[in-house]
Amino acid sequence: MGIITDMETFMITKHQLFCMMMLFEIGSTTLFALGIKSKQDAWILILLATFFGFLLLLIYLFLQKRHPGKGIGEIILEICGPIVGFPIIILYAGYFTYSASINLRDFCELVSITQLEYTPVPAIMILIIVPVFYLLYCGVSVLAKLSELLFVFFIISISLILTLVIMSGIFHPQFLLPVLPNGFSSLWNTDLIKTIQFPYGELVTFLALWKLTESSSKYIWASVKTVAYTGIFLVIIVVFIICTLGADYASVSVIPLFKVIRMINIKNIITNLNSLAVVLIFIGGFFKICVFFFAAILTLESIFKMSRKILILIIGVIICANTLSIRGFIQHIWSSNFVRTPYIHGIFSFILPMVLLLASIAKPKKNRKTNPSKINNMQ
Amino acid sequence: MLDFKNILLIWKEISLFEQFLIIGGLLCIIILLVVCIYYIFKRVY
Repeated sequence: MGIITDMETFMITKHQLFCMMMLFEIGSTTLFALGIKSKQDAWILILLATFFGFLLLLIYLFLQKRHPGKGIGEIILEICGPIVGFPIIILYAGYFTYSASINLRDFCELVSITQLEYTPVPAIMILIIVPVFYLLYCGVSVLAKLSELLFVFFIISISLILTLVIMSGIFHPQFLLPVLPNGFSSLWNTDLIKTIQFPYGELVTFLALWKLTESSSKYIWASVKTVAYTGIFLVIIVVFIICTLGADYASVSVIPLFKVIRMINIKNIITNLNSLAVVLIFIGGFFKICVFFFAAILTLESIFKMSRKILILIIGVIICANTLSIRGFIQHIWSSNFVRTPYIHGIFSFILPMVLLLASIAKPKKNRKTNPSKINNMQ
Repeated sequence: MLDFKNILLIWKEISLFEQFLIIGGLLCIIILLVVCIYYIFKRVY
């Protein structure tokens, strides 16, 4: 019971929020080579997407600024009232739950492909979801402190790996040439929208968590810094992938970063770093599942006054059921390209926040002070 | 990215949860737009 109480009183510091957002943003991006359809110009596409990511973040920040100290559930209730707000809150909680289950499936597949080939997906899923349950039961304080710890480990390990890639002699900067062979207009393709929505569009999740930060000004700078550093990180990763594998091979590779790390070989002494790669990729995924899961709980709490333990259990069961309902890896990838990104992320991370912001601006303010002219008229 | 030609085929292949999110999301956008218009109307008159 003491642990649960901690969830309500603990406030996230600026640094903890930055670490949480960074791990969340990097999260599953390490599984894919973002923007690789643009071949060797993928890094320019990521820079462009980062710029639009800033604009998307502005929408979320503006919405939060208009409703200080409130989570996404309370914001919706304040804008639309309880009758219209109820289904929207349910849908947002559904979206966070769905995103958590998709990430869970992503990382089940990662472990299944790379390390535990003969272990069934449900068994891997249980291994992942049990620590998530425990972490969420422990509360937001543990989640925030863990993010600080894992972020340092993550950055040191990824820097070490990138240094080892250069030392192995497999890094070929000439693979980045020619730059923009088909002109700048070739970057305006569907991959740009995908790269804006994933990972930057997923920041909508933090509309549920920003209310837990110490003060209003702190989450703004932490968020802006996160988008900037995520952009730099993604550019570095995609440059390393292209310079090691080549744009053509990277575009057909299942987990390109994993392939890059497997190629590290220094004098046959430092080699086979597969396990470190999986741990690194896994940290981001684990954290992402936790944040989506927690956002779903916080969103539902605004309409259902029930124990957090029960909510964790209910949402956890839905996540597990949805994870297992995906028939296979091929369907999972197909769904990601043709359903999730264009329709689901498009609606919940872009259109709905925009319309919510519009409604928030359009809503007439309540006059709390009694108008003196009205009193005179009444007399 | 939005494949309107094969939208029926896509609809049949996606899960119930995804169908719920897409239909619900679209309905919510329409409801919110109506709310927006109502607020603007209330402000003007």
